[in-house]
Amino acid sequence: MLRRNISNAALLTMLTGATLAAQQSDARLVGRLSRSAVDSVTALTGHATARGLPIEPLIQKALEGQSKGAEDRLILRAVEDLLDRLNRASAALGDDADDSELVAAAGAMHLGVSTGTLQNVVAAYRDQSLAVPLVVLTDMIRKGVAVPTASSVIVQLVEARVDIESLQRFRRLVERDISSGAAPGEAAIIRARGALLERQRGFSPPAPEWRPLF
Amino acid sequence: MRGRRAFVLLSLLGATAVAARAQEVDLTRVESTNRIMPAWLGGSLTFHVAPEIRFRAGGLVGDAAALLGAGRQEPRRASGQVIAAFGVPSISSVRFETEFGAFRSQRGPDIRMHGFDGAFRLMHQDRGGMVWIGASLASSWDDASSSGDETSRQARSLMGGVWKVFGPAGIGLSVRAVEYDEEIVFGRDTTYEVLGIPFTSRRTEQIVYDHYYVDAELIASRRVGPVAVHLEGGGRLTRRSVREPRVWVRGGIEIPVLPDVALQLAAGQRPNLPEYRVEAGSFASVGVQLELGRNAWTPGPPLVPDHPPHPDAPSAELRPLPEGGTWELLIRNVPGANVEIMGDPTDWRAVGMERLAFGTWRTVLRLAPGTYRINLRIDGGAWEELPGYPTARDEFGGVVGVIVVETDGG
Repeated sequence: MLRRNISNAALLTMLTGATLAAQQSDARLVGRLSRSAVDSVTALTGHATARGLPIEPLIQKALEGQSKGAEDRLILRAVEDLLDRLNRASAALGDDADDSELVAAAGAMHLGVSTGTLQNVVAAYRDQSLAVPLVVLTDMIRKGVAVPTASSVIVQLVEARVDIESLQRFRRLVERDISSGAAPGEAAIIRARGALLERQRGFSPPAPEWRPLF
Repeated sequence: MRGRRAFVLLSLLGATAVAARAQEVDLTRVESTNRIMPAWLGGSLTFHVAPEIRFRAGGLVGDAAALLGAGRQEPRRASGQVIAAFGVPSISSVRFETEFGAFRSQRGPDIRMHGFDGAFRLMHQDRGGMVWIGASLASSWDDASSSGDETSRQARSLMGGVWKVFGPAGIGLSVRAVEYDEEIVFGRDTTYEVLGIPFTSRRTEQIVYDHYYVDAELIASRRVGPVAVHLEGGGRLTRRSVREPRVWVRGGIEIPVLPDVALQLAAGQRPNLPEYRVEAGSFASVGVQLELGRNAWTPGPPLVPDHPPHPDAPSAELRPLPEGGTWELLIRNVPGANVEIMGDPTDWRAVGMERLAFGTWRTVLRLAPGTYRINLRIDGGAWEELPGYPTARDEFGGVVGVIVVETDGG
């Protein structure tokens, strides 16, 4: 629905120059994209601003597409998709999410991670940045770990309060196992066990969170 | 299946944790109705059956001397309670939880009180805190006593509150409005004679009381390392008599002693809860809380032995420079005549890297905290991911490396 609205709005904006006059195109886009593509991206960033979403990732996505030789149509679709994912990520992560977390969440959603999984990670990782767990999640999926397995592994790790360094080490070990020929899902599960065991040895379990009493 | 049964059995055995008795003992932070009765043997268990589903159960047993038929004779009090709760938080940030309890207590030589209660709460929870509402129903009744009186009580509660997180600390406000009614039935047999013939008649009288009160509690909690410290101050906004305490304070700490096991210490005052016939008083308690299944996977050996990466393998390293916000990206073990990067930090323009030595390349980037996507190209070839860094798929058929910068550097 959002995507359709965005497409309609972008089309409308392209057809009517009046709105464009009120919106300032990003100087980095001009000269690298066609005039119509610049206008469409500008319209999309206007939507992002209206929703309180970051616009820099959208501009970077357009620039990335141009640098990689993509056609305007593909670039606009990529920017539209990213705006849609940022919007859903913002709804899932809540108002406290910063731009870095939104970008990481949008990257995870690009590979099929559900908003429910994002919310589970939020609930488990309440007082720390979500960017690294979500980037690790995305990386695992890209390397062949099934989405449900990768999601479950990340939720387990963040619930156990595995720290950022351990998460990064976990990712490197999974990557190494996969490159050595291990099945991706098996590598993720076994390395997660190792990280949890390490966590238990380190022994600093979280204090139970406060629960309302009846 | 046998393993799972054994696990559950061991968990339940473990849940029967010991609490030492001081003036009166209460496991204050375990479950709802724990706070209504003194107890000195109790515990609770949270069992994570899946990442999204958790089951919590607990039990309390009261005055052991009374249970064993020894010790004090008057007043005697014994309480038993079984509770269970579960929550399904995965669907959205709105979480539903419910719990049910049943209790029985001995009040004096021949008055026994039975009851059950059930409650639910609906909470919206995110990293910033929690907003919740809930309701409960409780019913209790006394057995017929020597006086012949029979009483029963029905209580209805509406509750709600907010909880705000400030880093390792949190503060919350909880309000509970309780309405309860009490039904007292007097039954009295009278025997009289008419013309020498005895007649017996029974006269019954029923009195119904309606009561109402509102409590508010302010809760503060702070985590110091693995230890959580709680402080709760409450006040009764409505009072039926001047003898009733108006405010109460209690505090507690939860100390993890083993993975999944926490020691609970609590002390303070307890409000008057007339619907449960619980009078205000002080308490001190020591308890154990078990939370098993959180890390339900059995740790196993790694698939591939841990060993350092090969020293000749390509690698990338991002290092902060003394100037804040400036970072040095080093690429090692990448032979070639020309290495370029492009990505978010360069507005996706190719930037050549400086060659430091054979296979070692360097460039300086200005990076604020954030998530950045970067590609690497060697001698004009295809754009590749950064070696050793997480990756993501782009929308244009390629792969990018992802860097998360969490500080300003410097």
